[in-house]
Amino acid sequence: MTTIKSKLRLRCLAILLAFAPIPSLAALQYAALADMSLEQLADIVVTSVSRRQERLADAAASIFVISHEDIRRSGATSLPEALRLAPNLQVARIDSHQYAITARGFNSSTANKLLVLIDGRTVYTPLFSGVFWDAQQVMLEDVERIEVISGPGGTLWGANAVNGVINVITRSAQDTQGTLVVAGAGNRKRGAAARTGGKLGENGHYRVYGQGFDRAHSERAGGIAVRDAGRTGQVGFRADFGEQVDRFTLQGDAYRGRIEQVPAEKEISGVNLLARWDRRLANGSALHVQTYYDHTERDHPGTFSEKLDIFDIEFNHALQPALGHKLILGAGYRYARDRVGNSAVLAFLPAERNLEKGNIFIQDEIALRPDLDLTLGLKAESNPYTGFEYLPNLRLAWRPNHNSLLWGALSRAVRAPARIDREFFVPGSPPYQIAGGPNFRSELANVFEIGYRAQPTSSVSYSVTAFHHDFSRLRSVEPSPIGEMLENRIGGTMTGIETWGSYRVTDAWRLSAGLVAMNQRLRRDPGSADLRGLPALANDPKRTWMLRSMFDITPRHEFDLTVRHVGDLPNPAVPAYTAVDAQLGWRPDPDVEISLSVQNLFDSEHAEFGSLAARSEFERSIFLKLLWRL
Amino acid sequence: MKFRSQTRRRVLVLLLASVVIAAASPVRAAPEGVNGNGLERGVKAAFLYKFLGYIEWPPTVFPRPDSPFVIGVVGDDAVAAELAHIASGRTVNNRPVTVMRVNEKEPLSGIHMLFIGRSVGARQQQLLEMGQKYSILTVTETEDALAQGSVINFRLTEGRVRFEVSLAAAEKSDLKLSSRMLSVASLVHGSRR
Repeated sequence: MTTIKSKLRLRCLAILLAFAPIPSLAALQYAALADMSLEQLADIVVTSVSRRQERLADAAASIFVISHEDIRRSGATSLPEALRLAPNLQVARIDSHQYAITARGFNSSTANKLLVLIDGRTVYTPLFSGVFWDAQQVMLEDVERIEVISGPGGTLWGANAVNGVINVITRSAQDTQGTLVVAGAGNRKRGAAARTGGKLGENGHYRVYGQGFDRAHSERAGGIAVRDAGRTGQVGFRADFGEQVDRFTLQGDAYRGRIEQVPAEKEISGVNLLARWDRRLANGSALHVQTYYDHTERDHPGTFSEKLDIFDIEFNHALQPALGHKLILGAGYRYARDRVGNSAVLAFLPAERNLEKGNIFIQDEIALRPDLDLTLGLKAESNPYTGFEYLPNLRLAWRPNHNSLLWGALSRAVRAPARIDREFFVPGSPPYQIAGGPNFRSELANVFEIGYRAQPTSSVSYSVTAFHHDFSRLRSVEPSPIGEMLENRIGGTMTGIETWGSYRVTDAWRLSAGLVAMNQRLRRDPGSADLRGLPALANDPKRTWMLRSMFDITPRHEFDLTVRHVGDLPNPAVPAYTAVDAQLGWRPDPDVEISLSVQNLFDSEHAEFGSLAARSEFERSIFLKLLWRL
Repeated sequence: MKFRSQTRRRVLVLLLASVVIAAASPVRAAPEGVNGNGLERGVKAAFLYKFLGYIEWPPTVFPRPDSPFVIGVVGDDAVAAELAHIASGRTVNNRPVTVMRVNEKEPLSGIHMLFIGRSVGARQQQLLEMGQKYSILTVTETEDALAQGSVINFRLTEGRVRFEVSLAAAEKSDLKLSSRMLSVASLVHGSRR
């Protein structure tokens, strides 16, 4: 949150500076920098390395930034746990390894309206256009920040970003020099991680890391054990070269995991390699080329197995062709080879499929006045099922003064069909009860958003966003003489507000709060005989809120408290719950950190997602962690 | 399927063209010159001012309880000017802040914090050694400055101004850095190495 503010401010400063004829006036504006915190200063983009990066940060959009410090003080040990820090996400734990995560509703274990990127790599399965959260292992100690945008991001990010984008950004190798060892253990999990970084030649740096986790099984209500204990491990590296003009990044990860399930252990593994090149040109223009290869495998005995290879390349060019215009042009191509091993229970047919996606986009940010920006953008994206889809958006940002921003946006978001929509069959051989629809089309949403962000004093900042999504052609399950078939016969609206703020009471004490209230109305189209599609689309709380206190008892002792409330889910019904997480941190030495975190402090147990018979409940858990910089 | 292969060809051609354009684009060094742009200078000046509140000097360096903090700037007039603007009329821990441009050959007595601009070049090492004698908090902006004995070094990472800290150098200068400051530092060199 604070990071957004500082960027906003800086943008205002930058704009004021651009129009300020007298240098002394410029100097005067810089004086406002002195009112910012160290963290805010450290987050100001002084040279835009990549347009897209800058775009995100001061976008006229509902964006929440989870900082490295936020993660460190939360006691989170996995990416989904860290994502609970974003008030604009709905995070529900399903079992020991699986989560349902979405923004602006439509949550399910196969949620499909959120785009997740880890260092620019889309973490995604073409099976259902969603994320397998059990396979996303990120070493959180090396995460720089996580940007969470709620609302459509299709023009820049493509047809997966219907309701939001999560952008996980790890630290550059230059910032992860030296050796770090982390080990932790508790009653539900234990794990260890190590990283070491060094220099590579004249202006290069690298790091290598490895981490492993062992998570205990979860339990159903009443204490019956669920077979979902598992072990996961990941190793990886990142190397960064250059700084001023050319920057080159090469990074990769390999992971493996074994997680118990009925009837037999499921196995996941994968390897990815990404290269990125950013070049800064004169006049604030920049070029960005990125390519990656991503291989994932998973085997769920008795259900399905999958081997997926993705090759992706993207390019964008940011330039300022004329005064008052910031133009960004880009293109991308993705090739995926998906090989599914089918079972008696379900089948994807054809079992092997090559999927290609291409896109081109253009976006112009026009400074209508020094305090008013108009952004127009359009992406054309092709997919193997419906050809080209168009993702336009229009945004207006007005800065009435140097510490506030009023913005509005109109977007058209599209969810292109995934394999599950077209090529999915239950059971695995005819006669089928459910079949993917050969005519399944893209789901559509027209979205209107209006938001206000402000930092009235150096210690207070807040953001309020109101949104209205108008959905059509959502997935329905239509009965037919030969079994049920997936079609697009549900429509509806999602209306709500998202708000959060933070207050630095003293230098040693920070309070923050967030609230989301949503109202979803979905209806079958006339003529639809859908029975199962509507309840399967979404299961969302009407309200969620959180409060967080981060308190430095002494310069070496920290005490942090988070209270999270999630309203009840309608179908399958899950009762509302309020969870309190606490963490006590101690730095006996600048290079040593010891922390004790307790999740669900006052909670005997609560469920977060799924039907009573099938869901896990989560009880109090304790985790003691030691971090040592050698 | 003809449609798709056409799409692919188009996209690939576009990408290839883009890469070629990117590679062929004339590279001009950072247009702002050796010291970076105005915003970068402004952010660094603000950092220098903020650092004062997170550092404990030995009491002997201040003649009186309300003696000013003296920040010396060498080799960067832009930072000195920004800092002077920021400091005018402000106090840190009830001390006013004075900014002075320092000539490389002048003695450094009476200064609490010294910012050494990139343009100083080879003289930096000598300034850092002098700084240690006078319990001066030295702040630099070059690649290997911490190894040379600087306490705080600015780096440009992902287009942002970050700083790294050497606890060993701080100890030698008898300075205590607050943990809050260390938590923001991008890199903390330990005291035991």
